[in-house]
Parts: sequence; C-alpha cells; structure tokens
Amino acid sequence: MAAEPTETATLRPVEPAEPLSGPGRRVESYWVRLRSLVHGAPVLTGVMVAAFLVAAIFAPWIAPHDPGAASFLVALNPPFWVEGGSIAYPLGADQLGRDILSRLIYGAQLSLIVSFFAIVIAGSVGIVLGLTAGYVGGAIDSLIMRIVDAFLAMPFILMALGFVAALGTSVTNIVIVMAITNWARYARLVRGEVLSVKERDFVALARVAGQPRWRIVWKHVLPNVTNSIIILATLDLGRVIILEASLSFLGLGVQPPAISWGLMLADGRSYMTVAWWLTVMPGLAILFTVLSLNIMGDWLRDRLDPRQRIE
Amino acid sequence: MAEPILEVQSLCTHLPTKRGLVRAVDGVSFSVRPGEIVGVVGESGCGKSTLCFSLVRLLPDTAQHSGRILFRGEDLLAKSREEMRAIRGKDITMVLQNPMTALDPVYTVGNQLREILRFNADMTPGERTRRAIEMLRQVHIPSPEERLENYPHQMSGGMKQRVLTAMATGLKPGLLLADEPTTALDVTIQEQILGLFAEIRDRLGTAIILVTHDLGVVRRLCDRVLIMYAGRIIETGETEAIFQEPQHPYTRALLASIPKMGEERTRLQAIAGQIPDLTGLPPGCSFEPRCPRAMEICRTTYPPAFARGPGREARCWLHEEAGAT
Amino acid sequence: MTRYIVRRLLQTVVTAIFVTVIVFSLARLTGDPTLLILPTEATEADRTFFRRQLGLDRSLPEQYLTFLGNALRGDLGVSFRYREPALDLVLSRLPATLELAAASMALAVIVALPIGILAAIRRGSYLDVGTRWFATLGQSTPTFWLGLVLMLIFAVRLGWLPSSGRGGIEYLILPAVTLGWYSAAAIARLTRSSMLEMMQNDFIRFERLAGLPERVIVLKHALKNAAIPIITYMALQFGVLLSGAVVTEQVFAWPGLGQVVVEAINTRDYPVIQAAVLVTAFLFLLINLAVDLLYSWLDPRIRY
Repeated sequence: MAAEPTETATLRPVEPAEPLSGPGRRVESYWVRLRSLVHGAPVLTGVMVAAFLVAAIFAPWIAPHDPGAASFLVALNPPFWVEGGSIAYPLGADQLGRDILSRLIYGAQLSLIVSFFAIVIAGSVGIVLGLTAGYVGGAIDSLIMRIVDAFLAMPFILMALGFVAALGTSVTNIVIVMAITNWARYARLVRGEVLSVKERDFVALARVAGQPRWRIVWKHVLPNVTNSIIILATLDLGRVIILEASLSFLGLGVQPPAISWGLMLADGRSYMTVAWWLTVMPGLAILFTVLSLNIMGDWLRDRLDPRQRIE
Repeated sequence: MAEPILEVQSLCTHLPTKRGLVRAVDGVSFSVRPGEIVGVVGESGCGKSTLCFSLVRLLPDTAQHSGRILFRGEDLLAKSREEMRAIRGKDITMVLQNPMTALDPVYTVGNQLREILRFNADMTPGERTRRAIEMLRQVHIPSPEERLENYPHQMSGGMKQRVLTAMATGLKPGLLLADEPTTALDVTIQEQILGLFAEIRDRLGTAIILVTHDLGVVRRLCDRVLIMYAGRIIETGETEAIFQEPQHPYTRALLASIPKMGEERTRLQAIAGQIPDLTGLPPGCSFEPRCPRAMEICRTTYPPAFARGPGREARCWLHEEAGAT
Repeated sequence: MTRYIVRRLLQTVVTAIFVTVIVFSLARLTGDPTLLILPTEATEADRTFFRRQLGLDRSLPEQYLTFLGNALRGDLGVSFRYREPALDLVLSRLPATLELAAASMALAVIVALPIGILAAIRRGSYLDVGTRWFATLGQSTPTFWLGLVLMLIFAVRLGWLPSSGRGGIEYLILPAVTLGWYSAAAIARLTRSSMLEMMQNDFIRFERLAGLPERVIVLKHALKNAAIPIITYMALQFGVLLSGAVVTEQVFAWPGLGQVVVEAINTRDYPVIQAAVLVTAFLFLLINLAVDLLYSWLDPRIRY
C-alpha cells in the first residue's frame, strides 16, 4: 500500500522527482537489461522448461532406446527404484517392452512441435485480425469481433474434435486444428490493447503528423501489445500441450506409430491396476511441463505487465 | 484554555519498504484543542497523510510507531485493534481527498449511512433511517429522504463530499481529520465544503485537522498551522502570524508560491529542487539542499525548535540566538 | 435498459449465426458424405442421386441457408448410425452432462471462493501461498490424467467410490472433482486477484475509517464489487466445463454428451457432431447472455 496518495500539488518541484537509489536513467547496456530481466526468475522452472526443450529438439541423441523397439523380455518392467526394475529402463517399460523414458522424450518432441506451430499460426492470425479490428474500427471491427465471439463460444474440445474429424489426424492437421481453436483470444487481446493504446497521445501525434496507418500500427501500436502477447503465448503453450494430449487420449489425435504423451496414457490405461507407471509417468511429464510453462508465464506477467502486478 | 483533545508526543512512523526504511513521520509533537481547526501544510510526500493515518492506526501492519498519541488523555498506540475500531467512525473520523471514489458504488447512500450508524451507535433500524435523513439535512442536502435511495454515481462530487462529511460528523466526533478534502473539487464547491467545516466546528465543537497543500484554504479556515517538511514539523504558529511573518525559509518559499490576486493560476512560483528521499535523510537540516540561506551548521546538525513568540516555533538555525525551547 | 437488452440480444443472435456458419463449414470440410453413407459398391448414378437428395448439388450459400432454415426448425439432420434425429439424440444425453457440469461448478465455487477471499485478506500468509500453488497446479493438471489417478486411488485401491457409470451421488463425486479441479483453481486465482484489487479501493479505506468491522468490509463491500469479474469468469468456466466433460465422461464412462460425440466422431456421424457442437455453443451463449443481464442487478452504475 502506498503511504502517500498522489496529489496534484501546487508546489510541485521543478525537477521531476526521481528516486535517489534504484536504477539510474542513463542508457543501460543490453546486458544489464537482460540481467535485470532474468533477475528473480524461477530457476527450477527455467531448468525444467529448458529440459523440455532440449529433450524435444535433441530427442534422437538423448533417448537411451529406440522408442519403437519392443522387447517382450522387459514388457511391463517397473521403474528402477521399484523391485524388479532395472536402470537400463529407468522409468520402466510399457506393455510391449518399449522404454518409457525414450518414449517420453519423443513425446516431448511432438508436444513442442504441435504447441509451437499452433501458437505461431494462431498468434499471427489473431494479431493481424485484432490489429485490423482495433485500428480500423466500425463495421469491420464488429464483424471480426462477432466471429471472435463465435469461436470463443464454441466448446473448446468439441470444436477441436469436430475439426479433427473433418480434417484427419496427421500432425499437420492437429497443428491446424489447434490454431483454429486458439486464434480468437489473441485477436481479442490485441484489439483491446489497440483500443487503449490508440487513444494515447503519441499515436494521436503520429496521426496528426500524417504518418501512414500501417506505419503507425507497426511502429507504435504493436510494440505496446508485444508483452501481452508473449505472456498469453507462454501460457497457451501449456494449454495446447494438454489439449493435444486430450485428443490423443480420446484416440482422436495423432495415430501410432507417432508418439504422444496422451496416447501413452490411453494405452497404459488398461494396465493401470498392474503397472501404474504406464499412466503416471506420461501424466507427470505433462503436469511438470505445463506447470513450468505456467509458472514462467505468471512470472513474465509480473515482470512485463505492470497492470497485473497485483497477482 | 481548554485541555487539548489530542496531544501527539514525539510520534515517529517508519515504514519498511524494499528501498529501505521510510521515515514518513519523524518525531512530531503537537496538540489540538476542542473546536480548533489546525492546518497541516506541506508538499506531496512530506508525510502529512501518513501522519493522519497514524493517528487512526490504519497503516499497514508493517508500520513501526513510537511516541504517544494521547486522545482524551488515552494513548491510541496502546489500544487494541477492536478498541481502535470502536474509536474510528465515532470519536475520530476522517474525510478523504477524492469524494468520487470514497463511497461504495454498488450500495445506496442510505445503505452506507445506516451501516455506519449500525456499527457505531446503538439504534433501532427505524432510528437509523431517521438519523440518516437528519445527517443529510445537517450538511444541507436538499430532499434528503429521496437522496437516501440514490447511488453514489447519481450524485455530483460536491454532493458526495457532503455525504462523506455527514458520515464523518453525524455522530459528533471529537476530532475530524480532513485529508485534502477540497483538492478534487471545483472552486465554488470548495468554498461550500469549507463553509460546512466551519459550521460543523461552531455547532459541534469538533476539532479539525485539515491536511492540505493549499495555503488559501488554510488562511480561510485554520486557527493554527503546522508546516511539515520531510516528516517533521518545521514551523508552527497562529495562522495570521505565519502569514504575516514566516520564520522558516521553507515557509517563506511556500508563501511566495501562492499566486497573487489577478495573476494567472498556472504560473506558480515553484520552489527549486526536490523533496528529499525519506529513506536516507542527511544528518543536518533536511531543507538545507534547497535553502537559499543555508549555513555551515545546517549541513551537519538538525536544528531544534526555537521559540519565536507566543505559541510559535521554528526549526531553523537562523533563529538560534532566540534559544531552544 | 430495454435498449441494452435489445442490443445484447442482437449481438448474441449475430454471434449465434456465426456459430452456425462454423458448424456448417465443419460439415462441408469433411468431403463427400455419400462415401460414408452409401456402401462402397454403390454406383456413380446412386451417388449423384443421393447428393441431389441431400441438396449437395446446389451452391454453398444455398446449402447454408437450407441448413440454417432446418436448424431453426430444430432439424439438424438424422444420425447416420442410429437413424434418428441428431438433435433428439443429443438432447437425450444432455441432462447427464449438465448434471456433471453443474456438480463440478458447485464444487469449484464452494472450494474456490472461500480460499480465494481468505488468500486475499491474508496476503502473504501460508494460506495465500498455498492458494497460489493450488491455482497454478490446478491449471496445469491434465483432466483425464487426474481422473485416472483419482480412480486408481479411490476406486481401485481404496474401493471407496465406484469407478464408472452413473447412479447415485457416489457416482458423481470422482467425475465432479476431476472436472471441477481446473475451474476451482482458476476461480480461486481470479477471486484472489479481484479481491486484492477491490481491497485497494478508496471506499474500503473510508469504511475502515468509519469504523466498520473488517468482516463487513470484506464480505459486504469488497466481495460485491468483485462479483462482476468473478461471475463473468464463472460463466466462462461453465463453457470450459461443458467442453472438458467430453474427456471426463470418457474416463468415467459417464453416459453424457461427450460419449455420444466421441462415438460419433469414430463413426463419422456428422449430423450428431454438428448437433452436439451447436447445442453446447448455444448453451454457452445463453449463459453468457444471462450473466450480462445480471450485471445491472450487481452494479447499479450499469444503466444501459
């Protein structure tokens, strides 16, 4: 709580009040800015996100086994710390004797591909439509926003299922479906930000100065919405990972031999009572990945969006 | 002369923050007699609002207090939470700076008036309604019965400040704290509200502490003035005496910054320099960096209060020859 | 007031029309339905005849208008598989899903509101930290996995609750906890932040100055002011619940809409998919409309 309410003082000092301590106003080097940005970052979370990225990108070099190689000798072997487990299959083996750890690592790859591309596409479409709606206004704005409303009104998973049923279950199609089901929130976010930025002095000034519209949008409006987009995108990575896993779990996502955490869960379900690790391991993989992404997103929000400091 | 209703003795209020300990109020002593209107004047951030909230003990739990706040002879700093709650709203009340945001927008004015009566007085619901109407009438709100059913957004700023004043004075408090009560209002409305304060003082004998940076308001209404700078009181005295013969260079600068009659209001003569950071005050006089008459001693030693006539003090080495009080 | 309602209704109608456009395109994206309906040995003449019968030989706008006209009369086509009206099929399963969603919502609100409020007024306490963890964790848990784990623990290992099916209240507990988990976390988080924001208002300060007890300040004033964002969010969560029910129902063999949909997708029963998507989307729109109209009661400043 601030000790002093701000006042419109008749006695305002000539110099703008500036804290004596704290960062100076001189131009900071890029490195200093980067350091101050990273300062206070949740380290463990960062490590987990990094682990996820490394696993996803370098899967073939990291995975101890071929994820598709079945060996009936080790079928349903438990994790190494459980009696009967071995360190060769550290997280156990599934019903066909495939290494769970290796499959989790390859599963990370699919999760990353789907969520990353889906958000890039959804974000781009959303940004363009949101900027257009917010900046042009009028009938175009109403039209776009009603479409956005319509997409937001559709039950998320049902809509995704409908599109998957229509398009098919290849990885590309899953990406497209995720993009279709996610773009609307970016459009709404960007439009809202544009409307609030638009009224500020510097944009009005640029208009008066006769700058072309697209230039104003590009130079003045977009940088102001970037932070919000980064925050939403980080949080969305997690959401899309869960959504993809949900589709796979229902058997309506990517099909074997593709490896998805959701598929692993669905397969392991029948063995739940005899081999819990088949369901628990992929579940934990999803949980920890999404959890770290969410913590990261929250941290970014605290860091980049001063209006949300209250969180 | 009547016994003071409020006596503050070397009150310190320190607020721990990330940047360090803010000495928002630093050894303040003064007293207020019943029916007296005392102005507290200073620039933004000088600690005058914190002083008010210290008096009613409504700062965050982390705030550190020392000294004594004697209200009717009892130390408020020794009171429990519940005892303080009973005092607030009944014996000590406060009017805030911005009437536009001080009422809950989702309840009617009547609801909020009755609620205050419910928790501060022993009345039946019927009595509360009658009293609420009476309270509105006292602050000259026309057709108060109908106004009870209004929501805050259906009232003007001046009207809301009247309602808030009614809430703050309806139970005949001994002391009313007014934190910049007119800053957010139009000039004509300001006049009316100030008139209302004077009337309340005359009718109820309520002592009023009026926090403001508007010296015009002070001259119009206050019996006595405390000039605050960087958490301390640097000059006190009767209003006229201070306006006629300011003793502290800071007070002089403040008075010089009042626009003269006919002069444009925007062309204010500001005081050069900025108010000091309350986390790390220098050992000497806190005004020294901005003072046109700074001396060597000002840099090293904080001045004690020097008597400057009856009821007048100033903390400035220029008056050393008069001797400390 | 009336003007606002009319405008809001119009908006909802326009949005609903776009929903039907999306659902219609969904059906047209699937390609030639005769490949699904008719046996593989059907002749090209049969197919052409069939297409004409379904109106597929006409232009897309014409087809859409027919679709819309039929939909307005409650005709969403006939299930390929069951040979009965798709809408009837969906509506017959809707109550089970609504029961599940309502139970989840009730559970979420009962848990989330108190802890959100307490976390806000005891900011920085263990309870607050715990609430924030619950909020983040809850929003990171995959629903279906939580369902499986709960089932494994409470149905399989402990045997306290039935693992699947619909019946008495004991059948409802696990699915409702599973489905409500995410929403509880989300609502707790929003309640906390809205309450924190409201507690910083000037009027809260004034009420403290006026000697009101903290309990009244929090529960009567801060909470009612925070109600609009919280209730709006709850309406949004209801959509999340309707959608999430598809997965939860699958885990617990709950005989609701979700089961029909998954089955319909596996058998390419498009009319049923369309009907399910349309019905849930409309339900969601109606709830949001109702909530919007509720605002004027919550906040007298909204005078349309």
